[in-house]
Amino acid sequence: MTRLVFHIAGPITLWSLHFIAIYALISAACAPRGLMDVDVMRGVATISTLLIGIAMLAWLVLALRRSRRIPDDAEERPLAIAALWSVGISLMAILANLWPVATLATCSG
Amino acid sequence: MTDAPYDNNPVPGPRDDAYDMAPKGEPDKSFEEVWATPPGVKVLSSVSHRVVGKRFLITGFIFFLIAGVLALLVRLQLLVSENTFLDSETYNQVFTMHGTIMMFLFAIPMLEGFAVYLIPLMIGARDLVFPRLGAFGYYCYLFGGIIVLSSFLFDAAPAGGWFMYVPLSTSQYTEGLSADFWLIGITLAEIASVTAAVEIIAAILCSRAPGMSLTKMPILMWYLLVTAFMIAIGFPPLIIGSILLEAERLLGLPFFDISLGGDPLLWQHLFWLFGHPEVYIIFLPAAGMVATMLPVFVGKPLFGYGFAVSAVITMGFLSFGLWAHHMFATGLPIMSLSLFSAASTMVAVPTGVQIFCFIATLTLGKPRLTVPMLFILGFLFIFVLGGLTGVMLAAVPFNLQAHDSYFVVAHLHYVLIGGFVFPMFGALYYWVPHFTGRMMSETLGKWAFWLMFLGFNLAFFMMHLTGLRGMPRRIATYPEGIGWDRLNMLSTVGAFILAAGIAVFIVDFFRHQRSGPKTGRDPWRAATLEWLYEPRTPGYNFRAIPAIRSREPLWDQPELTDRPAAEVDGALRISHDHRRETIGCDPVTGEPIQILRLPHPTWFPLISALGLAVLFAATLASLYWLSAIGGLIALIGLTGWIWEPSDSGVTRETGLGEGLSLPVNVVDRKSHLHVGTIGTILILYALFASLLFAGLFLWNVQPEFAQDTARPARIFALVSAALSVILFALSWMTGRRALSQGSLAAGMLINLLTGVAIVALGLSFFWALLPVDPYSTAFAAVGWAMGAYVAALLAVSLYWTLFNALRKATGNVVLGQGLPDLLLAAFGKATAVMAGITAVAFLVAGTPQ
Repeated sequence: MTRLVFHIAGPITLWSLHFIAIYALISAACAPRGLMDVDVMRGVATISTLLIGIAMLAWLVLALRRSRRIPDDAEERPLAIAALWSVGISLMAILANLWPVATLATCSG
Repeated sequence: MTDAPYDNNPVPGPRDDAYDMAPKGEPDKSFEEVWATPPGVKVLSSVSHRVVGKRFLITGFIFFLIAGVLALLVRLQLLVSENTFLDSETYNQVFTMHGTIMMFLFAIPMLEGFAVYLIPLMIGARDLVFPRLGAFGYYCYLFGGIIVLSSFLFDAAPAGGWFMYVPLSTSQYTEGLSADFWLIGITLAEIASVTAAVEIIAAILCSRAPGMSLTKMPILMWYLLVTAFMIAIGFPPLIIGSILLEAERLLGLPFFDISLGGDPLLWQHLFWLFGHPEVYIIFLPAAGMVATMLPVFVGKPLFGYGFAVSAVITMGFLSFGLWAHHMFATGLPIMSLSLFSAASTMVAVPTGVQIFCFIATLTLGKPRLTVPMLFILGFLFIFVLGGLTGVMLAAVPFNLQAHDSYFVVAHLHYVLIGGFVFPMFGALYYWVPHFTGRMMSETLGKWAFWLMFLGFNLAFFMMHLTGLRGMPRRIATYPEGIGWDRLNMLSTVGAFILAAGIAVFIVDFFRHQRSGPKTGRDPWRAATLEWLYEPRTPGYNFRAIPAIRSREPLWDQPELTDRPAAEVDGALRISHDHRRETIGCDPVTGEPIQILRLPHPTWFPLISALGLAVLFAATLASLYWLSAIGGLIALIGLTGWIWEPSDSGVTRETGLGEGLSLPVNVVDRKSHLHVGTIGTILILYALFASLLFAGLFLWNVQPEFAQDTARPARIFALVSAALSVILFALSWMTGRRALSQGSLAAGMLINLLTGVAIVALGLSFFWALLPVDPYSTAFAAVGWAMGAYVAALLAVSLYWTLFNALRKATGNVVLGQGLPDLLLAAFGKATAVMAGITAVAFLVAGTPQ
């Protein structure tokens, strides 16, 4: 059951880290200090999102298989369901984080 | 159930333990007397969760009424165009105090009140695990609220909006004390919120009934657990922001001064890093109460328990990624706006999952249309509409059009009144019989609901239209004939109808206490444990704590309902030591691992909170000698609080299984005290991260000023980093010795060495910062703020380590009572990490660029 708690909190924690990373990258490229070129930032953001997205997809498949293995009346069944949905929602949210970087070519649109 | 004749007060057998009498045991008192609430004025020393919970609820409701009257004044002013009922300054004060009181002194305390009252009853505990902390939090809230409200008496009520934006709230534009009343009073009240977070986390994870695993917890516990973590992370940015702003007002430090490299947007970031999660902090417990009540009136378990758990957890996280959607019109880069827009849209997904769980539950049976059920249906209708306008506002172009208009006012009231006030009234109708032992009127309740529902929608639906017709927020009056007159009049009429509904509730509340029918056992046919006893439940909650096998124990475990509740079998029926005790559990599986000793009534929480209130109020009045006295009183109170004999080191029979004995206050990382310390450390990290964010933000947006700032002394920054490593190592050794029960003399030596390391580290930081003038730039001021924060952590660590050494030296600790050192170790390690990060930051800042 402890592992399932990790599988519920893990994906959405990964989303938070990804969100912070994207926010930091945009801030690095778009704030007055101009730490980074926008195109470089978009490249880094896209590659890191793809890598995390693939990992999340694998996590989703594993969560799906695990939820099918656990019988309906098992005590940990609700946590397995929660883990599955958590990874699904987190995957969508991670892709949403990439949306502005993917669709806007410059900081001002 | 055993075959032996029932004995409600069994006598414990002889024992041979490290001590014969539990410290602070009251052998001359019976079990019931040990748990009784003190009579007369001594009731102020009560730490019982039910006393404290009801205080939160009553005080919160009084603040709700005050803020409601202020709202009616706003609506009266806007009743007609060109109105002169209130002058513009008074109008500003009225809407500012309305928002402030509703958000800080009503909504959060009310949810804390429900949490404090309900958690032990629903999870099978006799009290919260830190009852004194709950009482302390309540008094801080009360005194903070009084400070904020007293501003009216001094004609200094805050007038800058509930968000206190800078530069308006700086000394330059807001002279006098009005903003100080807000900053100081609210910061004091916020102590209650963060203490409640620690309390809720530790109570839910560590004191559930035997067998109550995470999946058997009532769904409300998941909501409260997530909310508590959100408070722990969400409130610190505002606390830091408030301290920085007060430091700018009081000391002239230029955190937000644009001419010295400060930035007003830093305040907005810190405020909304708190402010947006705050909306979910308010909404989630209310939704949890809906998820608790709904199955009762449908007669079936909640549909999709696992879906709801995933929804509430993901919502808790996602809500932290939305803060800048309150800042769409501040000139942030479009790419940033799009990021926050996407996250704001995403949060609708788990919210939708949760709402579908509710709707699916409704379809499982034929709902009983009781008064609480009506409020639940009202919640669903209103909140879903508020959510939809939320998705509209998440779109940047629409947001820019609707920004600062009455459309936003309508949206936020649909979300907050729909998402919190309606469920709260449903919850009050549902649980008031538990508080008072009498039922409220169904007829009057239906009147209250329909008046509130119709009044609310009349008042606030019109505001969507007023906003779309261009009426800005916060204006004291408006010209006639531009299409706002009739809509405003309808909104005012609706507001008074809504108020009439609340008045009906109040009348019913007072009426029912005198003439309401007495409540029997489980009047709603509920499934959760708080209804096990007849209201009002005795002071100890559970004579014996039952083992739990189901998420709906009163529906699925007949042995709980086929006999008088006091005769139900369970743990701790025998009171060995005449102390308040409950069962402590494994945080995940719910298996019992310890017996928790709980404090008896004490004055120390009140004394400590009073000292803090004097400290804060005297600072407001610039009476710094009095501030020092207040601080001293608080320190004395806290010292008396923690200077008590340790209970660890013995085992006692629990009455469970085949004579299962468990340690008292186990020295283990799963201990409630250790979990509570970890919760506290989470808050400390969030405070630190807020300061770090402030430094990085200013460094990034004001590079010239960061460049012009004098550098910290690198050599001392390097020494600080090294000393941080030493402090971490000493703290690690302290923890190892506590767990392995090492000798007391060696433990004392490590405590003293830790003290020396802390003093050296503090001095090293001071010398590192000495070349930096905190008044030179905002960046320098943030550097000093980080130094001051680490110094505060070091001061607490020093006090703690010397305190533990002194207790060993005076024989107040015996071998095996290592909990204080285990907790100190966790705190010391966290302090060392934050000190280390600060030292590295100073080192980087000190390097020529």
